[in-house]
Amino acid sequence: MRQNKSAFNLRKISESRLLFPFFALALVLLFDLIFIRGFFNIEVREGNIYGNLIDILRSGSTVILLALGMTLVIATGGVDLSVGAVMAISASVAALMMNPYVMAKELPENLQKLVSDPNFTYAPLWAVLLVTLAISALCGLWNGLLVAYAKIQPMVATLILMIAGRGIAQLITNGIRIQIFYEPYAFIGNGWAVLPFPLYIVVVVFVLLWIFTRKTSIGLFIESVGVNARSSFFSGIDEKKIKLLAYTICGLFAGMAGILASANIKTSDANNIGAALELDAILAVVIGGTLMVGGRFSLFASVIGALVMQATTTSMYAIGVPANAVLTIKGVVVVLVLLLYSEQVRNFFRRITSPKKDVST
Amino acid sequence: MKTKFSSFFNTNRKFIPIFATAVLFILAYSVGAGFYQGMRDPQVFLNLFRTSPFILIAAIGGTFVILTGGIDLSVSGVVALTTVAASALIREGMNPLLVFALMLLMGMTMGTILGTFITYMKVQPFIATLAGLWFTRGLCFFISDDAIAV
Repeated sequence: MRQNKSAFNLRKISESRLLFPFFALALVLLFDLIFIRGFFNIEVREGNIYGNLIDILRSGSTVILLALGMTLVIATGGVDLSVGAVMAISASVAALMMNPYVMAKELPENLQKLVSDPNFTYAPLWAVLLVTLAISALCGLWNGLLVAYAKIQPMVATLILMIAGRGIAQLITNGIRIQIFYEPYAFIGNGWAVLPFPLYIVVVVFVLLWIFTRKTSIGLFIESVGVNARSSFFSGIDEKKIKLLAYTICGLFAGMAGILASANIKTSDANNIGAALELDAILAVVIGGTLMVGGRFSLFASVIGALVMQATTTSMYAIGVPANAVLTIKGVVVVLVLLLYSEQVRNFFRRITSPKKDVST
Repeated sequence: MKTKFSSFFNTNRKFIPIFATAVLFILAYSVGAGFYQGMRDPQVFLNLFRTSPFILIAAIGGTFVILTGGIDLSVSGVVALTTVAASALIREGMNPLLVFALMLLMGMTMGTILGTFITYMKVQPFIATLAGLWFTRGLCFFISDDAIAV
């Protein structure tokens, strides 16, 4: 009887949606444990914690934010390719608001000094953040309008902003990379308060989004639109508004990720901020077990998926693989992880975790 | 008049996409020719076939993938890997004909592997071929960081 119960628990674990993302993360970390000496070392300096693990969390924060927004979009059965470009737009807007004088041809003498002062900003920080997030949410709204109301395929509709967005970001800053000297803004991306500051942002955002989707019926609506948009329309859910909401949230989160990324490197680099990150985010969501055709989603699993992607990248850098070649390894890891999800492997897991009697039937 | 027009549309429904594509092409070409003197040269039209044959060939292959309801993102990666690998091999002094055969085999192998993932392992096409794209792109950098002259 006792054995039976433990087998049942094992079975419950093997059916859990979190098992595979955690398993994948454990595999990557196991690889690090074996092959990289001192990967798990953690140092405490001046009350702050440093180390490779912390680094994964810190640089993974942008991907986690993107993956959270992307989860909602993918759960409605769409996909948002434009998040990287939206990141670039938000970085440009933020940098321009703090330091608009770079647009001028010649600066007065004293202003030059003022601009490189770490306490100088043209617009106050709250205004910078508010306007940046509003503009990125507008970008998301545009995607949502195209997908939900103009009925363009999500991949094509968001491809428009993916390509145009980088151009827009360049137009905003006039093609210049604006440096950010304002210290409080930079603190958002690379500050430490015992743990890296971006981590706190991610945790707060995650909890808020979780409450928003799981403690209200929004999450259920999103899932039902993803499973069958037509039947959820007939049962009284306005599928267009739900889709619009999902894309807007995705744009908003991409803006947040853009702020983190630009604050981290203290520059608005329209060409390179968020380059190819949309693919990382999509893969993170898929590793988290959400299907591309839409339906059930799990925010926490997507976070784990994003950590898998970031842990792979960080450990490749730790080994010393050149940045361009990391893509190969990532491709292999993604394929391996996705093969874990295939029917064959799932059946195998089921067989070894279920009681002996069930196998014969 | 209107009914005649709509009946013409209905009978030729299957030609509408190709017609639309042709109109787009002619429009783009004539706008270019309108603005730029040099584009009126017929040589420019022939140059389309000279400078972008790989897009033509890849598009023909991609048609079949999309017909099956999938998508193949790995095409550009395979094109890049083929060029890098072929020029590296030819620089090493390999027989070009043998290299061509090898490259075709390599492309087929890549496609077969991705196809196996998609059909038998039920990986979603977008994701599987994206991984393929990254894999092939990255492999190029393993072979060479610089451009290889042939």
